Amino acid sequence: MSEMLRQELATYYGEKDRLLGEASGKWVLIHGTDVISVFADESDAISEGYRQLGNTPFLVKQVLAVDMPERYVSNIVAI
Amino acid sequence: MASFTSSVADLENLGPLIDLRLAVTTAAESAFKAADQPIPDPIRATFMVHTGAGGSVIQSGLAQQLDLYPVGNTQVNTPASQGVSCDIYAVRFLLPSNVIAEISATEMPLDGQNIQGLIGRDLLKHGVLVYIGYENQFTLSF
Repeated sequence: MSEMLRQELATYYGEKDRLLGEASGKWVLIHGTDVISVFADESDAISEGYRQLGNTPFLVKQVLAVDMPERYVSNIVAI
Repeated sequence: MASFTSSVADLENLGPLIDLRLAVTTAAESAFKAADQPIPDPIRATFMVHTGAGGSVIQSGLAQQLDLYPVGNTQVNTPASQGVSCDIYAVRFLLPSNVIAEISATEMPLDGQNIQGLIGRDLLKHGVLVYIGYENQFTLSF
């Protein structure tokens, strides 16, 4: 679990069912406990996050029923 | 279409390496300016083009050098681990031949490697990668 986005991720999963009904496939911008808005495009959500919130942690996440992991087929990344 | 060709002395062993500069995005620049904060200088880094990487990666600590905070989070699967939570940062890659890409890169440790990041399929999907092994060269075009 991300330390800096712990609150935002908790907000996302708390609101996930509602978001799936309203904005499935779109990108949600969350800061703290606030769901600020949803966007069709990830980069638009990030730009709006910087515009509204400045350089501070915020969460942009695609609203999906099942989160899709990023896949890496080698062990170059040390996790 | 912008294009650049890199020669790597031992392409087989070292892989397709690119010397680039990592910078904050234009949106982050505007945020720094709005807060009357200095815009962090770009960081020189060596990245590897990696078709086995679903997304681009920056080594842990690079985003902090750019005074950036995470803008996302994802789960990562590797052959050794599954479902590892990793933060995402919005960054700008300044590549050779004035190729500029603003992307969301996942922060991960790259311990024991001679690189500071990976250029993954999220960026490669926009371009053409030509790998000429017997010439120790590769070309990337966008």
